[in-house]
Amino acid sequence: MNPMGCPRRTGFLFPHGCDRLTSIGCPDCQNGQVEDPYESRADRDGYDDYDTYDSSSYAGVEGVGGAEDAADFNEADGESLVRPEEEEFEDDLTES
Amino acid sequence: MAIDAERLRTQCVYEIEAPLQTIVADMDEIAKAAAKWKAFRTTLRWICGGLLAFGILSLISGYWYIGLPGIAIAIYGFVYAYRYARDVVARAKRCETVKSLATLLASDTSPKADATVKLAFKEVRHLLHDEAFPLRRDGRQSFFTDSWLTLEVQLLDGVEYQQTLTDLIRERTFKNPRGKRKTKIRTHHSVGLRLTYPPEVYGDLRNSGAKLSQPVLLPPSAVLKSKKVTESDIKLKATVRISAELTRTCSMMALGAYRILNFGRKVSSRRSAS
Repeated sequence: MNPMGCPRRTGFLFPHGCDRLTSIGCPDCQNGQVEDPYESRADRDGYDDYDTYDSSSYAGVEGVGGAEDAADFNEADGESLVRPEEEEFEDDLTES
Repeated sequence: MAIDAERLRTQCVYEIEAPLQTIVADMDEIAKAAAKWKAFRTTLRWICGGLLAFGILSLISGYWYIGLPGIAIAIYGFVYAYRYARDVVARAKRCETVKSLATLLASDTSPKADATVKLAFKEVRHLLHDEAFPLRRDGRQSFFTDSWLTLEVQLLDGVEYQQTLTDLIRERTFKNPRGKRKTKIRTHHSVGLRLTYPPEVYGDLRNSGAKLSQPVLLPPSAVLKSKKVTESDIKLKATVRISAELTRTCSMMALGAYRILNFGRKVSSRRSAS
């Protein structure tokens, strides 16, 4: 994942970081006009509110309490879902 | 990547390990090839029809030495046109299904990740069950499966996505009131989805997955037959009556399965936060 990439969440099935360096010409955020392209997708047939779960879903799940969604997905979660790709550039510059 | 059209026409199987974009391009190419082969079959039939008419006229006029070879060539041409790329032409719509699936997964897959696809155009039936059909005279019904698509790819979150599409075929044979033998074939589809998830990302979904009320929504003609959540994978199976809803079913099943996964992720986050 490029650290200089777009900070917005993208994806269809699950949220992940965007690989684009700029929002110009991006079909997901439509040139930066859409704040959260993952949540705003309208092509999830039958799932109107895909990224939201009601509080009753959490009830009884071991170790999870409360109705508030404090640990909701954020940009960092999206990034962490992505497995590191094969490294294209050298990270450690002290080696050379 | 250019497809091997000749191999596809004779063997009726497309098998590849390549990025999804390549597969989408190949599906377009196969659809174009199928349209070309269909046009060739139609043209050949028209030519053979003309040749047959000419042969019959020649025979009537007494030119049997022209008429007989003409009729023989026309019959051979009809058989050749019937057999030429028949399976690919008849099931070219399967390309659309694969293309839709690949497009669906493209936004959650690395452009470099190789997907494994095996798409069969030739029907290979495996008998499931054979029994008498007492509602009709001399009635008999057989049930077959024909597995025609497997697609495997690793998504960006490390989940192994495995999709299988199988046709469920019911063939009924009976005698109608006039004593004529009749065969009726009805085809439904079975959609299998398996997501092998990394527990370090999503936790153990056996408990959290069950908490969701109706996590998997499906189109009207589809029925969810099984849902199994284990500590390492989610398996869903559904049947679809209407072919036009097959792609939509695949998409909705994937969304439903990921609703469980995404929920598991949220639960894991809450546990870590508390």
